[in-house]
Amino acid sequence: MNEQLLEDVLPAAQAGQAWALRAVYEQLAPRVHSYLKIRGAAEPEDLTSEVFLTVFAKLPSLTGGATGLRTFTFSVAHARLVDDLRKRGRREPTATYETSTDPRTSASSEDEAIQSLQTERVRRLLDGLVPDQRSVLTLRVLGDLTVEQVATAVGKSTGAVKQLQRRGLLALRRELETHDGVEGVTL
Amino acid sequence: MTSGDDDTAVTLRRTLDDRTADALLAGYDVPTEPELTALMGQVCALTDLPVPTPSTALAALLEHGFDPTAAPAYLPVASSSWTRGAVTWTRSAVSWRGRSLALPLQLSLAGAGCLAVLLGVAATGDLPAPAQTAVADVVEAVTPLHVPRPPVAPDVEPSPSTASDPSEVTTSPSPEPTHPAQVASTPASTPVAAESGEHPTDSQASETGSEGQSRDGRDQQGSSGPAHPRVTPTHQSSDDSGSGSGSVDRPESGQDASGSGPSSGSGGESSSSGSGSGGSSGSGGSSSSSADGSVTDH
Repeated sequence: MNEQLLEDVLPAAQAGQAWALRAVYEQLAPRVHSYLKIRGAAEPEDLTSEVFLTVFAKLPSLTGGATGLRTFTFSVAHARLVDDLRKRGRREPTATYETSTDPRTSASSEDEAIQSLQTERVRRLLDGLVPDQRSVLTLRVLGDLTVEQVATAVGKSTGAVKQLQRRGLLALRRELETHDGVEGVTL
Repeated sequence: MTSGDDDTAVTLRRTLDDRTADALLAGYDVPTEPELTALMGQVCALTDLPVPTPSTALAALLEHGFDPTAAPAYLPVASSSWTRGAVTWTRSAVSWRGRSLALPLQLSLAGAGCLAVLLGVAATGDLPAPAQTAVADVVEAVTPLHVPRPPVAPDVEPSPSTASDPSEVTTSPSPEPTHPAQVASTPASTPVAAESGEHPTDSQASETGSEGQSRDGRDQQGSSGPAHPRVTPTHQSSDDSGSGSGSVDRPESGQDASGSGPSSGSGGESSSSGSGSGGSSGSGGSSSSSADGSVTDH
């Protein structure tokens, strides 16, 4: 993520320029998509689009520069994710996945397998955490947010965020020592 | 060293300080934590994904941009917060409708209460005669119930002499407008009251008196002449309550009554029932009976 690029294009994006909006989307969307995907969103791409529709609607009145934009974007993503998880907790999924209708493509099956293994391992490790710890760690790493920004996004104090990230890292270390990291994954 | 000291040492060794945690989460290489450094690197690698395909609405927005001064028509409609807003709006509309229904409901209840009171009073026959008649007409037309009606005077042509006599109006001490039917009662009405054993009300008395007067007045006025003033019925006092007379003049008006007694056309010397009693009371009589003695006033 190029922070300076975001800073440069932000005024034009706030003025509604299409090229600036695309630049913002290209800079932030992969991280938002990764955050939603690693947190187990049902439709990460659709949710990402909803997040940016909301962010762009508030863009003209946004303050804080690129840092404020990133913080606000992940705040909206976190809120959308919580809503999505709650809705999924209340009802069964109503649509099934059809490979024939999926327009997404991948470079190769080998890359996809490696990526899938890494993603699966990271998700398995993160799933062993308390939800708040998982949110703090993923927002700090994937969103590249500071402690204060994470505190703003999840609605907690900075002390609570520090405590959550420290306990989350300790839990991950215990899990790594128990399962021996990547080497423990078998194909 | 005890086992507890060993546990404390292990705990201290495994504790992460904030600086180390910040360095790990920022993607720096921390030599003391190789496993966590590797894991954070893998987590960061998850962001090396292609840009996700935008939805149709977002693609249109990225293609054309937006006018920051225009209304945000590109906002997502199906978001949960908007749904909650719609539900809130619906609830407020329902509550507003409930409040709007409250006033007509209250008015209806108030009207029903007033109607019930009116019908109750009408059932006891305590309404004024016109109102009692009107209520009786309506109730009997709408429902099979029967509401007592006030006694109705039969249609009687007013006496030409009575109608043409200006003294009837000018000499009347009654504050009520003089009506030929209210002039005086006659013995013809008293037997009815006597036979029924009831004490007629004011209206009944006046109407029965008018009936008698209209009959006897013609007969007797013809003999006594129209020049004599006539005693008109007045309101009953408390001590006159229950009297069957159509009207009794007060003692202070007794002189007028005494003067009108002979001129009532009922002969003067005795009296006819209503006005006769007034005449007798005006002349000092403590009580009197009607000409035929059918009604006794006390």
